[in-house]
Amino acid sequence: MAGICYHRRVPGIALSLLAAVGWGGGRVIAWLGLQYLAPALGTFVSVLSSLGALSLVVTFFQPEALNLSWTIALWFALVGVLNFALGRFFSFQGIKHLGASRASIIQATNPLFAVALAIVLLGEIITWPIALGTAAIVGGLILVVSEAP
Amino acid sequence: MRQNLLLGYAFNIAAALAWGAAAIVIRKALSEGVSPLGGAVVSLFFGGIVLGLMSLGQYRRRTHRVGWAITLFLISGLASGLGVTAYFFALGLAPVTVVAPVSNTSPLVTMVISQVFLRHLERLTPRVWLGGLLVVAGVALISVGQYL
Repeated sequence: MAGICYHRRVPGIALSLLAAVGWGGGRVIAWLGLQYLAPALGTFVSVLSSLGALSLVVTFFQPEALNLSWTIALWFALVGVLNFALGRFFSFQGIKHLGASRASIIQATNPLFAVALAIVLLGEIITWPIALGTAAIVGGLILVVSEAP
Repeated sequence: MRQNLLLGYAFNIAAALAWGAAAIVIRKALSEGVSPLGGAVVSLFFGGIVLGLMSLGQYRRRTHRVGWAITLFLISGLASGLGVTAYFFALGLAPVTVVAPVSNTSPLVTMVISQVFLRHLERLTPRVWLGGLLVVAGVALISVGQYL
């Protein structure tokens, strides 16, 4: 059993790395595009492209995944506004002003906000790893922000 | 210059805040036992509608090399879509305590790619590299800490 788990973990880690490369590469390529096009229009094109790619994946691998109730679909519509219309748009605006690397470091702090909101809204508790992680993130941000690009 | 810098920080923090808030709503939606991939498609669809409205009139304010820029954004969107797909499939193969820290190294990937291909556009000092490493380590601790 342990062997089977190990054999599943290796491709899992490879796919996690591929995710990091996809997101990291996407940011750098967007930065190039932002030299010539307004962020709102660029974000719109990139979201359409992501939508096309994911729709193909769902159609071929998980066609049943789109069987969502109206309530769940509305939750995901809200996610779309927060994550893509606002999140990706602000992200591209941030990249345009600071460059891809510094922007990606600041944007990577989003789990900190998720944890803070979960503590305030859902009553979750602060654990030691979360406290240490918060300290590391704040320290890293101070290092990046205290030096002008 | 300074105003531009402050605006840049504000936009990036706003992005992080929007994604942090989205993560809470995603957790709520996924607690109903639905497929994350299906949810991602619905999210992209609605996000696309709002962005379409936001970008009305932007095309007239274009500069030169619009076709090249649109091609770049299409590739960028495909890369992000690949990232999301790989992330969800990774979650099916390995625990989130492994997948989240590894996939959250994307800022370091951005820095490496930027320094290899776009060194003329931005210069990264050891201080920025250290800052990036600290943020990635912190995010990994928080990601893992939520599941311990």
